[in-house]
This record gives sequence, C-alpha cells and structure tokens, in this order.
Amino acid sequence: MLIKAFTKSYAEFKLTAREMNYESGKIYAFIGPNGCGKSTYAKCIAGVCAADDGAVVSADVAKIGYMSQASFPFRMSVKKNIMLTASSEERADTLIDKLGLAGIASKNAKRLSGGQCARMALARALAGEFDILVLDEPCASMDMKSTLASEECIKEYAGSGHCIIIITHSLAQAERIADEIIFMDGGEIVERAYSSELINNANDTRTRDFLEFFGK
Amino acid sequence: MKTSLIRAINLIISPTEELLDILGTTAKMSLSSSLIALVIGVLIGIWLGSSKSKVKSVLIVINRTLVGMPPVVCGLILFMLFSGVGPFRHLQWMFSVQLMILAQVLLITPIVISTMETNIAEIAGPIKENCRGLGLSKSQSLKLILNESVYFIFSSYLMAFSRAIAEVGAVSMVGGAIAWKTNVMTTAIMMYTNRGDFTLGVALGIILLILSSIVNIAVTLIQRRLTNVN
Repeated sequence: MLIKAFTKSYAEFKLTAREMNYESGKIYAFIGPNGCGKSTYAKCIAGVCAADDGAVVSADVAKIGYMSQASFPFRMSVKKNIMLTASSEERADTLIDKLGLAGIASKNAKRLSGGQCARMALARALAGEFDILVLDEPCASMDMKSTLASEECIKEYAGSGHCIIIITHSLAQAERIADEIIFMDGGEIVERAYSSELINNANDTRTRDFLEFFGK
Repeated sequence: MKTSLIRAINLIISPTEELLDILGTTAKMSLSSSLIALVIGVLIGIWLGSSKSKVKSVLIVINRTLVGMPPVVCGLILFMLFSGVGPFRHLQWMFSVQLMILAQVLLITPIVISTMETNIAEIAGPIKENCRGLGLSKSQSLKLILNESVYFIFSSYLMAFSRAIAEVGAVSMVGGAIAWKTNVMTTAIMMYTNRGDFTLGVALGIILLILSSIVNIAVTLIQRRLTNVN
C-alpha cells in the first residue's frame, strides 16, 4: 500500500514525509525523539488530520484505522466500547481474554485506570477490520505483562494479513515486534530498514546518535 | 410575619383553587419553555461546540450577548411585536400563556446553547478523532457525542427550568399577570405583595424553593445513576 509524499505545517513545525510503501502482514515501528513528527505522520496517514497536500491515501484503496495517543473511553461498558468496531461478539471476547479485560468487561470504561483504558483502547482498535492500523504509543501506560500481551495481539493481527504501523518510544518494543523500523527526526523520515539492520548498522549519523542513548 | 408564615403553610396544606391555578399555569409555562429551549439549545450547542465553521466564533459572541439580555428587554420586544400595533397582532397572543412561553424560550435557549457549547467543545475533538480513527460513521459519532453529553444536557435543563420558573420581568410584560389566565408564581408573588396580602406570596415562595430543591435532588440522583451505567 502506497502512502503518497506529503507535508504538514504548523506554526513552527513542518513535517515532510516522503512516499512510503507498506506491505500487508508486516509491522512497521516509527521511532524518534519527541516532537520529530511521528504522531503527526500517523494522524495524516490515518486521515484524522489533513495533510497540506490533501488525502495521502485514497479511502477506496485502503481502510486505515487509528488508535490515538489519547484514547477516549466512551461512557459505556468496556465490552460495548470494543463492540463498536468488532465484526463479531466472538472477536470482542477473544480480545477481552487475551488483553486481560475479562474481569472488567462490564465495567464503565470511564472508571478504568490508565493501563486498563489503554488495553481497552487497543482491543477496540484491533477488533476492527483495517488494511492498515496505526497505533500511536499503544503501550505507553501499560505494565510489562500487559505490554507483552498487547504485543502478542498486535503480532497476531498483522499475522492475519493486516499492516500495522506503531509509534513507540521503546526501542526494545520496536525490536521485539517490528519487521522494519523507521527513524524520524526534525519532521522528516531519516532512515528505514529491517529492524536488526537499522539497530546494528544505521547509515545516518542522526540515527546512530539516537540509538546511542539506548546503548546500541 | 409569623402569622403570614402559618397561614401560608396552611394554604399549602389545603390549597385554594386560585393557588392550584397559579401552580398549573406556572408548570405549563416552565415545563413547555424549558423543554423547547432544551431541544433547540442542545442541537445548536452541540453544533457550535463541535464545529470548525468560520462563523462559529461570531455566533458564540452573539449568543453570549443574548445570555445577558435583560428579561424586560425581551418582554418589550415581544410586546412591540404582538401588541395592537405590532406585525404579529393578528395571532392574538398578547397576554396569553403561549407568548409567555415564547418569551421564556427566547431567554432560556441562549443559556442552554452556552452551557452545551462550552462543555461539548472540550470533548468533541477527542471523540471525533477516536471515531474517525476507528472508522465509525458520522451518525455513530453524533450518537456517541450525545451519549457523552447526557450530564451536560441534564445540567442545562436544570438551569433552563430554574430560570423559567423564577423569571418575572418578561412574563409580567407579555402575560399581564391576569388572574385565572396568565398569573404565574412569580407574578402572583409581586401582585399579592403589592396588595399587602402576604399569605399567598409566602406560600408561593415556599413552593418555589421546594420545587427548586426537588429538581436539584432529582438531577443529582440521575447523574449518580448515569455514572454507574454499565
């Protein structure tokens, strides 16, 4: 699936994204320092935020889903939240079990803790049928156990023929689940490579400087 | 004063036909106007709160001006429109409950719009972003915004009803406080106090306070129940 080159400008920031191709069944992790444009890129390709150049992908070419960094729990039970996107109740129940939400499935989503809300939001996104699913820091407020369970679900979703784009601040997470890692800095895509290749053999100085913080 | 209070309590326990008529007219006017204002105000408020239209800020400023409109000015405008020289005189609404309801709707709707707009503006962005990201339709998004707005709608209704039941300036101008026809609690309190008859005034004052408390308690209970919804 081809994402056209586009730009997005704010008052003091400009994102310049080059043309990118994403394959079904694969996971792509976006890494980079705060404010480099990862979330803006994610919002633009998901159509949540309008790029300066208009739509970056035609709606009839690919159905793109997006899980916001600030997921909104709707005022209804956890299960009903997930059923908003789920194709079947069975699909919702499977995700509820896998993400450890069984004990709180009937609880009002407004009353969840940060970690519970993040798991509910991830389940709600994974319950949908999207060609590309963009996840903006889905595990940021989760503990390690929940993070690993979430990563399993994300991998399963990709394994069933969906493309996943994940924005993360955890290089370890990118290394664990991504087929390819894309490094962004200063509003541009600096480097894209297979995970191990980028971590061990980054071409660009900015990528190497960034990876140094992680001891790579 | 003590005597008036005792007589007023006796009057509430054994109400006269006149008192019942005043209560009935008040209920008809307040409930009708607050419900009409709620329907109009909620729809406009949600649109203003969630819209990115260029005219939005202009409309918000106009609405805020209308919120501060003195009731007597509203009464004066309607008086000029519906009295013997006004363009709507053929409707013969002058000194009728219909015109009192219209006056109340004009006064209350901006309050509902303002309350809804302020609250919706805070949640509309995240809801729309999440809905769009999850591939939900516009009608689903609207339903979810309405579902999230239930508290605000109840709060708005409480404010609208409280204003409607307690308003006196506009309704006395367009209703005329005619006994057995357009006399409501507030205009009756004024009328009977001016006559030096405090009993009915005090009785109506007590009923107004009780009604206000009941509405507040009811809304609080409903809000609590909604918080626990599954």
